[in-house]
Amino acid sequence: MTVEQLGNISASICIIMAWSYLWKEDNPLYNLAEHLLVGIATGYGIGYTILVQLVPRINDEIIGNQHYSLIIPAIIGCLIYCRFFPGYEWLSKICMGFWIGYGAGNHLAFNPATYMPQVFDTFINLTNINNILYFLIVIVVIWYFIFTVRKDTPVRSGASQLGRYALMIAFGSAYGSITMAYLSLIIGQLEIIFRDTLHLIK
Amino acid sequence: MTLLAANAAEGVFIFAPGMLWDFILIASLFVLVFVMIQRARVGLPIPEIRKIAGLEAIDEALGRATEMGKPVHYSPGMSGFGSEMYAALAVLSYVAKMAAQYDTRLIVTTRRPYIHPVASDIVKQSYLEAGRPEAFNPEDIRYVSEWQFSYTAAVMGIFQREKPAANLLIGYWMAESLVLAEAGAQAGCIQIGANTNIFQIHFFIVTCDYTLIGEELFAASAYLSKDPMLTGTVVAQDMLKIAIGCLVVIGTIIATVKGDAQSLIDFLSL
Repeated sequence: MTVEQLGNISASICIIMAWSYLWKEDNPLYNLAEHLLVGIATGYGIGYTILVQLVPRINDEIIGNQHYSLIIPAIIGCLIYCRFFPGYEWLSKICMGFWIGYGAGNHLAFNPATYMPQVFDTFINLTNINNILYFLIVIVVIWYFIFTVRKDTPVRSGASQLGRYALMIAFGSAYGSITMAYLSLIIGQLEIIFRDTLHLIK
Repeated sequence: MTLLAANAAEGVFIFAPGMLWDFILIASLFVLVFVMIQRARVGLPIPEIRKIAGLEAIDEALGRATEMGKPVHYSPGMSGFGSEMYAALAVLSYVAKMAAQYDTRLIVTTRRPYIHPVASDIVKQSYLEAGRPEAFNPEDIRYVSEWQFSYTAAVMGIFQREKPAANLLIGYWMAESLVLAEAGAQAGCIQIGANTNIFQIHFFIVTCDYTLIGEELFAASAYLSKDPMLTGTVVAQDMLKIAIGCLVVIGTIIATVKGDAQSLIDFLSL
């Protein structure tokens, strides 16, 4: 038996174990698949972190390129383990503070840059029905997401309702197309079982 | 960082090129938020947030779990630190406080290792504020796996084994959204989903009892707390949205009259 055949058989067994959820929710086959997946992912994650993140940074960057300043974030990162030492838990908050502050700052600094091009794309000629529809839908959907203006007149509430309907039509369309993509994934899994492993189809 | 490094190399030190209007946008938001918070502080009237069904239903979901004597499952989504995660953690704070008051077990699962201690501290603090610090169980705040579908498989297993009565999936979700929400429905949970990912939110709409669509998530903390100062921030965001709506109208008029709105785009790209 080749390594490829062994891989196909293992993949097929794992697929069937995972799909056993559809037969019965709480069953040992699914539980085994679940624990295998979580365990393998954890092991892979630890290996990946050591080999791809930690070792190159220590060997190449800190020792090789003598970037000793990297030791500072490393120490701050290590503070997170202070959670496990009673009396020193507060030190781990320094690490989290850096992370949360970085997240907020980065988001505020660079997020608007992603929105402005979207606004520019709405500047279109109202010369055909598609563009008119596009423009109207943009406006009513923005209106729908305004939370603090009273929508107590027929025009205001009607526009908001129209925005909601527009969203639902868009979501319905996205649902259809993504479900098709998921079906192609299922076909891929069936091919592993019936073509690559059992050789029942070509 | 890359932009700053590039600008430093070119000798530009104040604004990154093409980001002046982004700066103005953010500065305007800061000013608006500050003004609205000041108004709230001195007691001037602040508009109310319209009814958001998904948020109203959180109390109902917790009440159901309490009546059935079963736990509540909460997940703040798949993202790292960013707007969705901050909003999801704000909702978690409310849910944890309510769970502590109702004496209902709350299970929180997280995907990111660095979110786990924050979620744990938030829940602990909420139990403390509710006057029931002894009810906080750190074992119920679980880091599952960094890997998307390992996390999904593990949470599905939790649904099977612990049969929560309510499942709150609040945050940013990707391809696992349908799998998790369907597993929650099979386990008999009342489900509230919130997602800012427009390519996946429809799965929550078809499988959850209530869904918060996109921006509704960001109004959540103000809506739930009824705090006028937090509501002030939502008013400020709304004002900015109205300004952007007006910009869309102006740009469209210019594009229709002149053939294109390139001059306006160039101006706004400074």
